[in-house]
Amino acid sequence: MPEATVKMTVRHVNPATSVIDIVGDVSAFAENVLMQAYDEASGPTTRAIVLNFTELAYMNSSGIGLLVTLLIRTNRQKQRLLAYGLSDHYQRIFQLTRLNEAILTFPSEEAALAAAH
Amino acid sequence: MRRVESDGPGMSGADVEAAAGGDWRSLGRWAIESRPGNEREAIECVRDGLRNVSLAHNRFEALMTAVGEATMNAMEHGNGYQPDVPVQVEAFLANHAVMVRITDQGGPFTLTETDAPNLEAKLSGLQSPRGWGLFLIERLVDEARVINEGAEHAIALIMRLDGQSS
Repeated sequence: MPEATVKMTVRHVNPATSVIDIVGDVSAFAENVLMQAYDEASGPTTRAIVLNFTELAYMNSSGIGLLVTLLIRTNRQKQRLLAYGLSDHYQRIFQLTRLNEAILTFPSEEAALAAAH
Repeated sequence: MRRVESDGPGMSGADVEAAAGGDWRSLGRWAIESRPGNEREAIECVRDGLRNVSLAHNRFEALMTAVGEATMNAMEHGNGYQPDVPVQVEAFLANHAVMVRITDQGGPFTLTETDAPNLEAKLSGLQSPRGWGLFLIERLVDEARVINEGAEHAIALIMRLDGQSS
């Protein structure tokens, strides 16, 4: 299987909120990277995880499946999953799949962090 | 999206082109090795082949995503990820539409919505988190036509040039 073509960096904004900066492709190959980033982002006091899609290059149906898996994990931990920086095209994908109902999306990091508090 | 499925032996490629009402001109044909991740190569080939076609940006991107998903299905379910059994991708242009045909060696195939993905079912564990590919294809293009010709099967993705942006 090819190597992941994505990098994810975790920022702990405050004890309750972490941001995952996603740069590259969200496809099946991103599974380990995404789950490791979530493990790093999530702690005992974490209540919200914010996904930064500003530098997203490509996402396919397998990547959408990964986001569903991530949602299952955050739901179990009673955490909220939020997102910002989606292009118009991927906002439409979120609407078609109804992911936008489970992952609230925002136009900017400021707006996402405000909603996370 | 209008969907046309073949019955019995299936529509031929020529039938589909005739039924689509077009005087179709090929803009390029590419053989894509059936390897995980190679749908990106198919997308870039088609993107380059359609570079001079006037299609609204969001509809163009919708078509590219559909091409990627259809190529993934063809590589995985049609050709079993055998690299020496390539997926054939061909782009066509007519006066009113563009069409991308993606062909594999997987035998007869029909589109079905019996396993339509449901987010609640996936979140509650009743469905696999995966399984969004055909759902996206059907909603992103104006028309998807299944073509069965012997051992080959294909899907033709059609976008009208005058279609409304969404």
